[in-house]
Amino acid sequence: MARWGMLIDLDRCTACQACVVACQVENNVSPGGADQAELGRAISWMRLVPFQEGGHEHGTRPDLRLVPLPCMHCEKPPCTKVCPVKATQIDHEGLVAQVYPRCIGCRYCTTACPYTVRHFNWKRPEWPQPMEQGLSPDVSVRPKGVVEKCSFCHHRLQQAKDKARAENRPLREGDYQPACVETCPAEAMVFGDLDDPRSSVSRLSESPRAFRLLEELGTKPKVIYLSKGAWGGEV
Amino acid sequence: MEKSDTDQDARLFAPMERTGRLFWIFAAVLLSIWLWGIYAWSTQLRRGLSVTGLNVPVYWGLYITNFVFFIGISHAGTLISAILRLAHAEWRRPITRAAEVITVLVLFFGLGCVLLDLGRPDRALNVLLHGNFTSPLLWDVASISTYLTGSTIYLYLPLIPDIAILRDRMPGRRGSTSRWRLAGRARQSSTGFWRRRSR
Repeated sequence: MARWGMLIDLDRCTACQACVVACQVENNVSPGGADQAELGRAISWMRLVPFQEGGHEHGTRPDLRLVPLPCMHCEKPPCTKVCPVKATQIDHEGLVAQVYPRCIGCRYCTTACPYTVRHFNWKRPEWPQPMEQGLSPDVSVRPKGVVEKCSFCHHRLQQAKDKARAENRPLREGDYQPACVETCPAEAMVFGDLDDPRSSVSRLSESPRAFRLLEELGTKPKVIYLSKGAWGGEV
Repeated sequence: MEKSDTDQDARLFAPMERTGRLFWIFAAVLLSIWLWGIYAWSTQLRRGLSVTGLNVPVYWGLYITNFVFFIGISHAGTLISAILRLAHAEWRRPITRAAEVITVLVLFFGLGCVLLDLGRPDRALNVLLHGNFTSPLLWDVASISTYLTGSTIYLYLPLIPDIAILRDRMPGRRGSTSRWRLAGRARQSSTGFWRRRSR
């Protein structure tokens, strides 16, 4: 069984935010509006989070880095443990899924997630007029009052599996790619099966540049970052 | 019951026999506050939790604070009542009774605060259908429902003699035979049994 993982090369990333836009279009994420964004309620499954390196001592220049932050799809996710209704679960392929029709909106998982990648629908999602007609039919629109998050474009996995079955062949590397990975113009993102030793994502995860975010918490994230030098970033 | 006792208690029963003007003024004020709350809640249901001012990362706010506060008040009620009863402080019976009433009522306020805080209160019973026992929230549900049941019984049992006194005291309020029969039938149907009429 596959164990899907993502790799983001921060040395290649240009912080162009194409992944953010691709994700919003692919997954029917409502932009929400400026007033909601000001309250910190903007929903974005993929975000660029600023990390500051250095600049704390007088006379040194701070180095600001923008780090793409999707759901880490942890192998030991804190969010699934605290959900009172099992509305979020980790499936047999390692994807942390969210069941929108079951979620009661208690926001325990958003509180538990150390990466703050879970988003609550504070109001009914809405789009500017022409965009409302261009929503993706593959992804359900979430009602107000439930929590949503990055799914690693789970619908694309289903489509890839259907296609492979129709062509009577096993799933090949590259068949299943989330929208952000497919979009990345700098080719900074790689996606694939971490259990397959020949896949580029598992080969790159062995790199000395590889690290995971907040590794010390024991969540075992399946999003791996590559960066040269010591990683001393702070939010 | 002795006659002298009844005379002494007459003043205690007075508020139950008559309803003064002040009562209706209070009732009207409280009712208007209640209606205002219902309107505010309907606004929240229509427009989502965006009206609460909660945001990221302040996912939990006043509702959960109130919940914890009311649970604390409720525990205080049990504590006061239990200590006074264990110490046989009979002369403090009114305080004991008030503490027991607070225990039960305030638990309902706490429960209400949690329901208000949910994004989808219509799905609250999913907690029973799909309960996840690794979630501390489910243990909240389990402990509070147990505590609510226990404290309701704890309130009701000592009330039984007082209810009996009221029954003897107010013969005028007993109602006609037909009303009693209706009440009996309602009780039976609510337990799922209809008594067959005798031929």
